[in-house]
Amino acid sequence: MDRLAHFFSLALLVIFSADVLALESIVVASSFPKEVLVAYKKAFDERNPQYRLEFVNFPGTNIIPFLTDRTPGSRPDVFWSSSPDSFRALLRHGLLQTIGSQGNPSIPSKIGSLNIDDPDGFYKGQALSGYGIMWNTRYLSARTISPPGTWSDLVKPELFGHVVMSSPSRSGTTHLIVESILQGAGWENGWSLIIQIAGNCATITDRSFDVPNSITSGRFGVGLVVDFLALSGKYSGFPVDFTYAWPSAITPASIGLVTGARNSEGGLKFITFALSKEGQSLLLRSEISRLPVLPEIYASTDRPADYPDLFDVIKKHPSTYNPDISEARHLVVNAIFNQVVTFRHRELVDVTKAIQSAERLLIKRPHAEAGVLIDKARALIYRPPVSEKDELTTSPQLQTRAHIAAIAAREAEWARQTSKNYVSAKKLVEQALAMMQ
Amino acid sequence: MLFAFLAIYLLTFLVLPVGTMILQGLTNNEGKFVADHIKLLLANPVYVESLLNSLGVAAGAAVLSAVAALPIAMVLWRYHVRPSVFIELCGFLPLFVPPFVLALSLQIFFGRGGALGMLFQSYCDLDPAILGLPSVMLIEAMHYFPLVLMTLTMTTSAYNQQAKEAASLGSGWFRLMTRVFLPLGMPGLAFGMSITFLKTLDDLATPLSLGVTNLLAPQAFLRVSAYGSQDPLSSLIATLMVVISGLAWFASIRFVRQHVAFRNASSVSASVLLSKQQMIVGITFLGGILMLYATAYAGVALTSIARIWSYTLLPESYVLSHYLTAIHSERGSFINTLAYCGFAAVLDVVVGLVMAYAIDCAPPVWKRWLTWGATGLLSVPGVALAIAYLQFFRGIEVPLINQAIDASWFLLPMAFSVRGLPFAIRACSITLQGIPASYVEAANISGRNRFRIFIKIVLPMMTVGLFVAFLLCFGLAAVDLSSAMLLIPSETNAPVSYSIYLNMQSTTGRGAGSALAILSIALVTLSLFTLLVLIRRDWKTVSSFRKFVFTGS
Amino acid sequence: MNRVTIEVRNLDFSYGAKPVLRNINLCIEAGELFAVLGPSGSGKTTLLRLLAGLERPSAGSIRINKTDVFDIPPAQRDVGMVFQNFSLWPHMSVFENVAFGVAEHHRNGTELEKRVDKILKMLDIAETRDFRPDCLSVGQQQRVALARALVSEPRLLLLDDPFSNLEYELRVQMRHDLYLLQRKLGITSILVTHDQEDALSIADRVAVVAHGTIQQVGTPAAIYDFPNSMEVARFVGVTNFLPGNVKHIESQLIEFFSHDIGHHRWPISRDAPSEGPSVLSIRPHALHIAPIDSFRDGRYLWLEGTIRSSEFLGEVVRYQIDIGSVSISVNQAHFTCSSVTPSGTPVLVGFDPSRSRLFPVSAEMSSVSVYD
Repeated sequence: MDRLAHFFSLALLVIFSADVLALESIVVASSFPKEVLVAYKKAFDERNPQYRLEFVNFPGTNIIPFLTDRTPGSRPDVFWSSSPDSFRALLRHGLLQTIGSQGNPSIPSKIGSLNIDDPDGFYKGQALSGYGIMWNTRYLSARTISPPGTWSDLVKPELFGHVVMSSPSRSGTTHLIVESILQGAGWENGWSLIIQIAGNCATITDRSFDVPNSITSGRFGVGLVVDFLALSGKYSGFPVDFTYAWPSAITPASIGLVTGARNSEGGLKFITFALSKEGQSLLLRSEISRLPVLPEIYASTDRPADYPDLFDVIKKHPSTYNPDISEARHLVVNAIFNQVVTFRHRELVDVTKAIQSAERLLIKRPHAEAGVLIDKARALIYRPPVSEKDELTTSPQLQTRAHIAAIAAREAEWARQTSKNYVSAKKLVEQALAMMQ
Repeated sequence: MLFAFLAIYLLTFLVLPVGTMILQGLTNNEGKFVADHIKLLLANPVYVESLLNSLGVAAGAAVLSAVAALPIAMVLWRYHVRPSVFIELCGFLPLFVPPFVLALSLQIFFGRGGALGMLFQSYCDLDPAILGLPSVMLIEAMHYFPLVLMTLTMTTSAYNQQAKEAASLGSGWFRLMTRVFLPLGMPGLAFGMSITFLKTLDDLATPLSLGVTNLLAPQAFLRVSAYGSQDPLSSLIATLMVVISGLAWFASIRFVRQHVAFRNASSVSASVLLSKQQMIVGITFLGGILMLYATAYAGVALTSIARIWSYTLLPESYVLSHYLTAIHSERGSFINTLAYCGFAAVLDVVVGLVMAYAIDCAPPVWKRWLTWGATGLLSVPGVALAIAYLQFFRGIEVPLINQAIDASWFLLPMAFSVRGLPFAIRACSITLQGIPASYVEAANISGRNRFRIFIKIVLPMMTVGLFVAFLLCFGLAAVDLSSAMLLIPSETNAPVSYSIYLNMQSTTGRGAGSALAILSIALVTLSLFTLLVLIRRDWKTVSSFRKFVFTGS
Repeated sequence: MNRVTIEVRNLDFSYGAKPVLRNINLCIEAGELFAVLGPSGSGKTTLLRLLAGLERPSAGSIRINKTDVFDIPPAQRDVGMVFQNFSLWPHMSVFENVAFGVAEHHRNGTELEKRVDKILKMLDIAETRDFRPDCLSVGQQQRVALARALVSEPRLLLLDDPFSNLEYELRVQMRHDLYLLQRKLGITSILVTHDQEDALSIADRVAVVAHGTIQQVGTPAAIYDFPNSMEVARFVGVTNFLPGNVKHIESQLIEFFSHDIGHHRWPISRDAPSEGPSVLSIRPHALHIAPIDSFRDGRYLWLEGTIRSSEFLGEVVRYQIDIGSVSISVNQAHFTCSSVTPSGTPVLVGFDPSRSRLFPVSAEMSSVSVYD
């Protein structure tokens, strides 16, 4: 009995103490993996004992509903994410406070053609992220597959079932990869490439960090990832490697102060810390492995020999990425990917497999008609369900119930069409196979 | 006073949120009833497919676990092998360990990256994520199979001695199986199967970790996270889940309500010397099952001590530091779990006690409805409740701390408590029934005031029962990831199960995540063992504990 | 210790629509040990609970020392109660169990301990002071329950079937002890029991309760010898019932006719039984057996029968004797070496009519069997 009472009082104590402390806390909403957050929390808390840093971890793509669902004064203080779209969306919804020129003056606001900070001072670049392909060297050499060099290599039939990616609606970095392909290769070709890659995927993971996870463990061979997730695996000793891919986006991971923050002062304090020399050098830790934006870090701190250099990367991979376009069609791109790929992944894999084996047969036994049928099948499934000029993608709207319902109606339309397409494509391929027999 | 508190609690945290959610799905912006959203839902084949998949996977998992459990239970019954009470309690482990741990472990062990999956990869691809839907079904069935088996053996074992004697007197075993075993086992089977069905339907983390999205729970979850709580379709999907669970639960009650026979305490405590044949049967089957689960969880166990494990049969190098990391860096989530689940469980015990008392005092007609209503709470899935909370408490501020209620940790324990309530009510009413009225009357006559009688007599006599109720609710809350994934306001507020889920899916975190999972399982087993030691002293409680399982009995 | 009288008037009690007690009237004298005897389900425990205040009467009044106690809660009625299962709180030691019953104003430190120790000593359980109830023997548990009931020196002691859990030997011992204790303390006590031996052996007076009403109140001997109804006769002691018909022949002579035993006439001394269908009740020990051809003593009425079976009970041999279509029990005293008459032997069964009782049979009762 006494023990029980003791336990209850302890539980109550914990609950109340957590609440009292919460008044002094700084809440940072971030899509970064735990290691990053833990490192920053430890360093920051040591330096600022009057505050307690807390994190909200969720995909950056979901920040808008997360913030609008909460009234001012109860929102997180800082938003910190590698998704530029999210910052654009926040700006459009009026959810960011201006920081102005506060921060670290040693960080250039522009490197090459790339804007590091928001020109209006609403958010600051904190690190750079590039996107590319990660692979497990043992996995690939066991299957004598040569490492891919760029996105288009991922559609090769020999990679069928060995690729893994996440969904843009669940992962900001995946969204960026999808968008950079769409902007670099064009809407139609871009979607074709993305859907073909997805057709080669063994699975679509729920969280973005499960992609590098399953590659470091050797479950799958190749994945589409943001650089630091791959590099941290590499520098932790796993047999993995990484290459930047084209069309690519080198984007700053940014940090900004949220409108309606509970603790603006504390939030600003954390932003300043993240941009300081100490905050920047944390990025080089092997479990983080990000590219700092403070140039002196590259000069001063010892880093692994083949650690990518900021300026080198920017020079080699001129970015064509425009966050405004991306932000405007953010929801729609996610919805298309979900309806065409995520929710239909089994059918997509099935048809992709059929097409690939039919094409293999076609090389052995050339057959003109069959070739036409297979191309038809390809055209049916490897294409977006809407054109780039569709009003949904061109005129962004605020997220309201009516707008959500409107998107849902279109989603239903795409889903029906996609289902039909997969069935017809499968039939076409079967016909082609029958012809070649 | 107490009843007013009870009414407010139920209204605020169950009736109104769920009601609002149902309305959200059925009304337009002006609040008029419209079928638009239903039409939208039906128009998209993905949702229709998700509905069918959910039904199929949940029913499939329930049937599969029953099909696996029935023959084994029959053989155990036939040779009248009684698993020890500890093993029986272990049958309840599935309720306290989240199933996604099994899913992730199987991915590690049967995936291409190592162990069996790597060994066999040239013949077949064993990775559960490749199979998709069927592997969700298989994993859920495998996860809940011990529960079904143990509820089955517990309900039937009362008569296995008599059955053996009857058989030796000439009744054929086949006849005994169909005439005695099956009818006796029906309530246990129905309970195990309905829990499997409800939990599978509600499970979010398992399908997501397997990359399966075409189920109701993930669809609702994905929609809410993409479009926010105002999304009408997710309300509709959640409503649909409530309806399905409700129907499934009431269907199972039909079976469970029949009388359940338990073997009495004395025959449990009597140590029975097993014959050689019985030993062999017992060891073969129970040992076999144990081996199966040891293999299944080997993935997590190995990962928790692996430093580098990438595309090799076994890890290249081993390290114990993951456990230190887990204990060190996840102290927060342990404290969170303790706080939320403790808070929820305390609330559950208090509310459950009041409810149980109310049900006890209610006139017979009401009694039945109240009991049904209370156990019917089981049919509110975690995902649905979380969505309902997000909508209902959207932007409501807590006056003193000037913080929105949905931005605080507060909703999570409340959701946990509502989910644990049916179990708490059941446990409390058994505890209450365990105190004969005369004990209280004897105190009444003594002339002490009611408060003192409650504190000095009633409460101490209920300690064990309430402690069981507390542990039960605590354990159930600790694995309730379905509501946690939607309701946690910040990473630092995450309970252990969520930390395991996040960690296990990242390169640098998976060692610590696995260590955390192993620690949690060990902790649960340990507390089950403690529980056993605790109630060993009081066999009455053991029989009550069994009685607890069978809601209708 | 002040002795109290209890007066129960027109007491009714029902659970919902189901009547449990009807029109109970009782008067219990100060210092009396009063037993309420009845089969289970007769409502006797309910009567006790009404007296304790654990239930409220539907109608009628209960007065303790002329004060109506309707509105007085159990705690203030100043009663001590021993429950059937003793209801000792399992989580408390013997001392704590007893001490919990001590009223608030007696609870200061040493007085409390003195008081409890005194009563434990009086009941001879001082050595169990620090034990938990489950470590005690049943007899000790009962004493603890008694100690708890008596520790606050109540005016009235209520005992709900306190001996039912005890084995025979212990039971005899305990009820004797209870009797001595009650006499020593002089506390008005009410003992509820289903066992006639408990009631008859120690009570000053006994009330027989059946079907929610009081059948008869009287001293144990009066109840046994002169039951006023078949109900009481059946419940108190063992009795043979012979159905038949009563006719008045003269003012002092009646005739009893039965198909089984034929016509018999005997004089009556006390109030005449009513004419019509009746049941003759004779206790087994009032009957005796004689060889079929022996001299028929004129003081007795003689019936001819055949021994069907016999039970050897030690002090007596109980014969079942077929007379016509009925079978009656007869007790014959047994002495060392006396033999048991074998089955099948035709015998004479004699009885003194003045030791038999005649009960009228109502129309509804005549349809039910009376041979039990």
